[in-house]
Amino acid sequence: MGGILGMEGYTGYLVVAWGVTALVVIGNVVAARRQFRRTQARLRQQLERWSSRRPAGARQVQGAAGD
Amino acid sequence: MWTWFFRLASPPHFYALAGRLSTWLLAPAAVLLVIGTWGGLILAPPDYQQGDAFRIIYVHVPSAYLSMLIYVTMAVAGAIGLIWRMKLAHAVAASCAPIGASFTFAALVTGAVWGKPMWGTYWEWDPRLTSELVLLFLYFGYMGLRGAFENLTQADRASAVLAIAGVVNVPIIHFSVIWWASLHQGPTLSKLEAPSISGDMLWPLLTMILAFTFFFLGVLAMRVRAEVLEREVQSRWAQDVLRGASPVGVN
Repeated sequence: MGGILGMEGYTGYLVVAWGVTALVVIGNVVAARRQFRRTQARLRQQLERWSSRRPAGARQVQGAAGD
Repeated sequence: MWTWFFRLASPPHFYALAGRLSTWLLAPAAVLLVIGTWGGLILAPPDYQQGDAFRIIYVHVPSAYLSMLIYVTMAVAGAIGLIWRMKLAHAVAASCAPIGASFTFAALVTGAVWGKPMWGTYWEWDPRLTSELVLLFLYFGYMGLRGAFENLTQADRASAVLAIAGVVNVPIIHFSVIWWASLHQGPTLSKLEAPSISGDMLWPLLTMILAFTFFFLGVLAMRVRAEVLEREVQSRWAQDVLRGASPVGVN
């Protein structure tokens, strides 16, 4: 093998193919983390809004876990 | 026998499990990606016909394999959600779509980039390429359909039906090179009696396929956590998690 930078003139194709795949892999992790943080932040705000609307002394939460 | 299944389907249990799983799946995925990349780019010898251009196989095949695996996962999860009315299954299906679309895109781009030096063109309306493009449109259609509904239950049901109907495209993609005259090369790995790739080229490919599979499951676990939290915000356990006072077993 002629080394990574001298692959029989195919270096450009290899860089694009591997680069796009690397972007997709990294992008998936970044997008998943951002989605989780944004969802958490939005739901926390939603909970705060619900809490502020409830009359004093009312039950804080309702419903049980489960499907 | 079904106890573990129903326990797994419990949102708080699954939420906690997915949090641990994402780390335990992404760590080996990263290690395997490094080993597979080293093996594919450095250790594997050049192909006698394609030279070093064949090294695109190490990102193209795992991406194409994932694009189909994720679609089948999405369709099976959608079917489970429809049949057993399991909200968690719909959350899994919804989480699969963006991951699958991104790897279908990667498969198409890497295939096009590989096609130019080998076939002399980036794109040809070949059965394999066209059916893979249809798969990308199915993912887009699935996400678009989900976004069109305000009611989550309706979105779950309609998108599950689309996912199940679209799964017929997966065997078409896989067998297209056998059923029709195709510019695309025939099966490389699925010929179990004699894989048409030598051992020193094969092991990095299998390593990359394994790495991509771990990666998909790890990212899926991360995405499903957000979906579950969203769907369970009315529940006490989800509110405890959001307030930072999570009950035992949920973190």
